Amino acid sequence: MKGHVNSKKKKRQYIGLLYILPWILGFLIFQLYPFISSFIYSFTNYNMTSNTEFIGLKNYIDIFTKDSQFYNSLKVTIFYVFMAVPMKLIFALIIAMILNIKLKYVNFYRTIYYLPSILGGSVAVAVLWRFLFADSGLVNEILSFFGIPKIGWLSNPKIALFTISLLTVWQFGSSMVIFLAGLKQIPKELYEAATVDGVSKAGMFFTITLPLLTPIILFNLIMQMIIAFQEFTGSFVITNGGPMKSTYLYAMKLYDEGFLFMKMGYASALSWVLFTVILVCTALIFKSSEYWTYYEDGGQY
Amino acid sequence: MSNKKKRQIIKDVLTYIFLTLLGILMIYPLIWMFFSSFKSNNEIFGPLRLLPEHVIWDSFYRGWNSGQFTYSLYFKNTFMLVIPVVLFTLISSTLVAYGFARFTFPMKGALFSIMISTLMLPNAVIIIPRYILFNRFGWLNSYKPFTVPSIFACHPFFIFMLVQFFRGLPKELDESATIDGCNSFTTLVRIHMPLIKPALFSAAIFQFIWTWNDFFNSLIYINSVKKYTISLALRMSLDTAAAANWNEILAMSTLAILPSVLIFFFAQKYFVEGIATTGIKG
Amino acid sequence: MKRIAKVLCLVCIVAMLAILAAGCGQKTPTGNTSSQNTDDVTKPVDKPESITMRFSWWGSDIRHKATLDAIAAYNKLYPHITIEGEYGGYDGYQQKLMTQLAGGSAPDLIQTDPIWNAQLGAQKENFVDLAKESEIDMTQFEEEVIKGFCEVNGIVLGLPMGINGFGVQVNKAFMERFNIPLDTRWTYEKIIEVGRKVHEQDSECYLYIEDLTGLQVKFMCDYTRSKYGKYWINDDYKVHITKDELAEQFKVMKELFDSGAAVPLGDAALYNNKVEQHPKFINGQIGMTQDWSGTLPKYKDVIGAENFAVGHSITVEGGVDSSTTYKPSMLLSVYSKSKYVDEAVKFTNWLLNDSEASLILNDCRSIPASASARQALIDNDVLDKDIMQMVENTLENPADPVPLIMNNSEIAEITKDICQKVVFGESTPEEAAEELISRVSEKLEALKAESN
Repeated sequence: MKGHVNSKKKKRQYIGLLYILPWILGFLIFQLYPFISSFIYSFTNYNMTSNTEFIGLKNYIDIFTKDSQFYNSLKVTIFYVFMAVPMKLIFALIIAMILNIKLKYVNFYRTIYYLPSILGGSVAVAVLWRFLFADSGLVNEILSFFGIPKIGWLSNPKIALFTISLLTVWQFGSSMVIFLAGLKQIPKELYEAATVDGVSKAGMFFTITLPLLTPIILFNLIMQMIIAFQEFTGSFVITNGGPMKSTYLYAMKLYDEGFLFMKMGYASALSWVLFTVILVCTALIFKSSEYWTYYEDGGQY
Repeated sequence: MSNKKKRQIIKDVLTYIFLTLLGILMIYPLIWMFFSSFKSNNEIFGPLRLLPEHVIWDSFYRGWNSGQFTYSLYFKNTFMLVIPVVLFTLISSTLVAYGFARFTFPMKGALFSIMISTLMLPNAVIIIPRYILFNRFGWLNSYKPFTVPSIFACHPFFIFMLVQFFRGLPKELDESATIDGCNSFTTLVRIHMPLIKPALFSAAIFQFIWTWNDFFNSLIYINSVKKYTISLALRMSLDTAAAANWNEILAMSTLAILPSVLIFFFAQKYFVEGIATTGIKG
Repeated sequence: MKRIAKVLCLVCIVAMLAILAAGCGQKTPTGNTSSQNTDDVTKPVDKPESITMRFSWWGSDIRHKATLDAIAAYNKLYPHITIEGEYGGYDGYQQKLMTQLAGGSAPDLIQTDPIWNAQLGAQKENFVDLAKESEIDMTQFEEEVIKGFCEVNGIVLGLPMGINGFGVQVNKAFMERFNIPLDTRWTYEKIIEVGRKVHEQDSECYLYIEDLTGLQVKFMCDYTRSKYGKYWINDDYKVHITKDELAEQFKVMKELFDSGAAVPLGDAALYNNKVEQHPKFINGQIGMTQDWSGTLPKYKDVIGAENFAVGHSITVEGGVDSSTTYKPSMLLSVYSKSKYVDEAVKFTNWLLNDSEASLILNDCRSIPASASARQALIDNDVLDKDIMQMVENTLENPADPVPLIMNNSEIAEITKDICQKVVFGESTPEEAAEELISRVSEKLEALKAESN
């Protein structure tokens, strides 16, 4: 090596590639390859036992014309996403706002609120939910203590999905922490100036807090939505899709077709339909975000 | 003035009451789970009292020792799965994040964009071919479907998180390290690693908890009870408990969340840091 | 100097990657076979002859314990053979098994439900034809049972582990409390009539509990047979019930729940395949359920032996056929791709026919199907009286075997789906009848095409 500054820099560049080599390999083998092959499988009748044949668009045609559970599970999933995600985010935002006021023991409360989030999709929590919301479970006992009649939290097809969503909302902590961090970044001067101008608290919220938080809301919205579209453990362990398939989320449908009926080709087609739905939703949110997201640096996202 | 002060105090008190009530609401289910593991079935469904009237002491012991294998095995299995995954994720993600954050090489922009976009790639769309692939490799019913992808940095979230931290370190550090005779690798190990320790810690904790709680992947990849993780063992207990000894199931559920809860309490600040860094900059 | 360090560093990284790559590359694709036992291959084994087999079954804790004890006893006899149990509940067992069979990673020994014979028989290459194995003492099994329930597509797919009786499993205390005679011969109509009164008397109590799987496997199948003496679909891939007949059947099913006789389905479905775990069942607020004698121990355990009784299976008022569904409790099959087929077959014979095994297993899978095993239990006088009663009741008038196609998983899913719609009032019985016939006919045609 000649010790030349330029050549040294060039040399370094390739070492950089070497550092990211594990990821490149991992990406190719465990992400790109499955991604492409699931697209290819979706045009076949692949089922691991009999011979695989290309059957063109048949899987997709069957999904949209014959599979009555497809529309149901898609509907259930969309309901779930539109119920759980906004509830969770709004709740997280409200609590973050309250905690952002100068209070003592904020850290203590933050810790408590955050705790459920770390339990995520664990089976233990799903088990707990089954007990709490059973027809003669704790929640109904508390209600009947106040003279309210029992509610079929998990046994009424109209309510069960809501109960599953509550499990998601219960875990609002991580979104809350992100909002809290975002709130801390908002310059105090803005509020001070607003106070001088005689702007009300509500006014400040809508003119300062909310606009400045929009990038974070956007990020949260998209990530939570993608996760919610794929929710599985809750409905699988708590209600097993019932009653009356009212909690039969898309991920369960995918699991049944792929791993119960072994229709891997068909399930791949289903997964691509889901992917498209998620993509469209994400694109719509991004597109609409141009109108409601505010960037200090003029959109250099 | 004093009126205003009074009002402020009332407002504060109300806020605290609200926050406290909410806090109780948030953790009551967990507390209930703990105490109910000492109750009889009749008490679990029925009276509202939190504390058991007739304490059943042996639910933990009996729940732990049911079946051919005890929960010692399931806990051991879960650790055998989780710890390598965490370690490999840390090593591989650090290397890759370092590569992205500190070097300029051809296609870097494109590759970085791809990496970020995989952050949003729904797992559902790749799960079936992955299963088929792992089946061909003969990895089913082993922990390889978990560990090997983590060797290859297949958790873009952590790469992204660490990249954010690396970016916060001044470039002058590297330059002075180079002058002192460090190559890029030793710079990483000696200079950077100590500085991003908190980030590594956050990553480790998150990966630990996520893998610990994972159910779907264990469900499709692990078959034999001997290799069951806690999640699978719990579901099995729920399915087959004789005479439905719920206190045992609740006792085991309590133990299943215990490691996560302990880690959380001992390392809270890393949680907050980890989430906040990626959250804001994402 | 710097250069050397750089090279070293490069080597380090490459070496690390190579190690990592080797770690995952050592098992090159092996196709669909023998992917499972790789662990045994790679592990250095001290005693070359020691082998490990896997055995999967479903059941409750009582059955798990008995089976594990039997395995331990076998290990004492043959210390070099270790058998690992893979056990759990019935829910999800079939799907896991299908996954494993497709992936070539099924256990060496597999407990199967005879109602899956159609689907398992379609991949008979995965199973050892047990009739051809000399190690097995086939004389212990009745030929009709083997012919009727174990032989599919020309091979004996598995051997019967028990003889299953079928009927109601009753909480005596409940019946006494509501003054219901224990020897009632239940019909669905009678359950509705009596159950309605019970529920009116105490809104917390229900006479009967049935889950969703039960509606499909038991009610739908038995009602048509009991009333008209036929099965509503048959192995000729055709529907044998008219819309009106089906609509009437759905009406009764709906009434069963609407009248308050049965626990609301939404609630019962939370305990699918484990209604004994229902809080009301445990608290003695449910009168009875209908299930196989193989499941009797778990109900008895929950209700308590002193309060437990059995009865005849439920029929239909004014029906033409009063027979009771009969089947072996479950089959034990040997995976043909197992590395230790011979050892697995030997174990099968021991578990089913040997008197020591029989005394350990006792009646955890109902009364043993093997004559020698049964004899051992009789000689030692350990058979459960209730199970014997139930099997006796059933053998008085056993029904023709249920058509295999009825329990094809996709047909079953459609049936359950429509049963739910009826019970929850989303479809009228007439609409549901029409939908069931059209969807099942379509699926039957597809299945027929596949089977040809």
